[in-house]
Amino acid sequence: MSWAAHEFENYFLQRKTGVKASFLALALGTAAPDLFTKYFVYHVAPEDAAQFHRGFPGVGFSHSLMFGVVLSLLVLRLTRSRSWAVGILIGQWAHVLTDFCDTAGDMPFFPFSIEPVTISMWKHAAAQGRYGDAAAYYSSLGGVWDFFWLIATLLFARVALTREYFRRVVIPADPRAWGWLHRHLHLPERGLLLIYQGFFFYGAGRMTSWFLLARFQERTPFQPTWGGPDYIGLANDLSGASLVEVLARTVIGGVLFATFLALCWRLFIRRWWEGGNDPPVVGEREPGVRAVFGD
Amino acid sequence: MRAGDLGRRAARSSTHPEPWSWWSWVLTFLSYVVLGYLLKSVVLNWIVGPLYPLFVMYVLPTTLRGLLGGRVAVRPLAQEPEAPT
Repeated sequence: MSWAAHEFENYFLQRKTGVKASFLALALGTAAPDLFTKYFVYHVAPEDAAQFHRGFPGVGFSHSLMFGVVLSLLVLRLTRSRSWAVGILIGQWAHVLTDFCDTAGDMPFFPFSIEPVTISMWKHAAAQGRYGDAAAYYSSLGGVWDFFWLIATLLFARVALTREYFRRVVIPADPRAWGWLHRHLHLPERGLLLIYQGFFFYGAGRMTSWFLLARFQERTPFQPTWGGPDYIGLANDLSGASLVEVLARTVIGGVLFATFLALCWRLFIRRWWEGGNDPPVVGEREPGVRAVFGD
Repeated sequence: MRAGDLGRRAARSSTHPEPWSWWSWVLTFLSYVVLGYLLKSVVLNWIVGPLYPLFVMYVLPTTLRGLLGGRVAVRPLAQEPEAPT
């Protein structure tokens, strides 16, 4: 699993999608797979945490591309907002794709393939409990992965953190939600901006705090080697299949998933999409203040 | 005036200065890291974490200003003055 990388991804994705995706939906989408499962992983099934978190049977379906499709369709149907549907979908898919890196991996094409896909960069250590998991993550290449995303965001998506970008892109992409926060929480634009920038702050802050906790409280050795940290004995690889078997099952699952999506698009998704609404100011690129009030 | 200067001027006029100085971010960040280190999951979670800057940099000062006798200056967004161009 990735930790702070999921917060930094949001700004990259927002930079790429512009007004097509709501930032709040992106943030919810990237958090969704763990939001629904992490509590149960640590408190209900700690003895078999990797299998429960990422496998089947278990709640591993939350880390599949299909889960993102279902969530975004649900949001599209309920809100008719295309920017929210796109945000949820892209955010959740980004989470699935970045969680390939640990030893448990995830099942991107569930239910068409229940073969976990992983590159085993660091150990999935949820069985150690929350603090042990954090200490193991920030003792492995996972911590380096988070740091890479922090630097990459600052280098390539820094503009997405500015007030100017917030006014010109983020609010116009989702004027209803930001307007709702403005009206009901009585927050002026600088307050809304703090919520927007807060996700980056949280990523950087928790990365630093957990790293310090791992070094000075948990006192775990820093072992940023492939498949580390070594002090966690169990690899937590959910599959005993060979590389060829994994590839074959994943490719078959991928083809079936794409076919299923295409079929659903023809049957009902296109109709739902066409019945949805773009944010009212898409194309006009009004500044944030006007977008919120819709004049 | 050359066309390039006009373009740069236009670009400058369309930008809005950041409302918070870098040192207020640094102080907020340091306080978050210290609290996170001491209180762990009370602070390092998905709810408190992203809202921490809002609380420390906006809600707390605004509330304190109100309690210390000043008006709680929460202006509606529409009346917020435009940034100087």
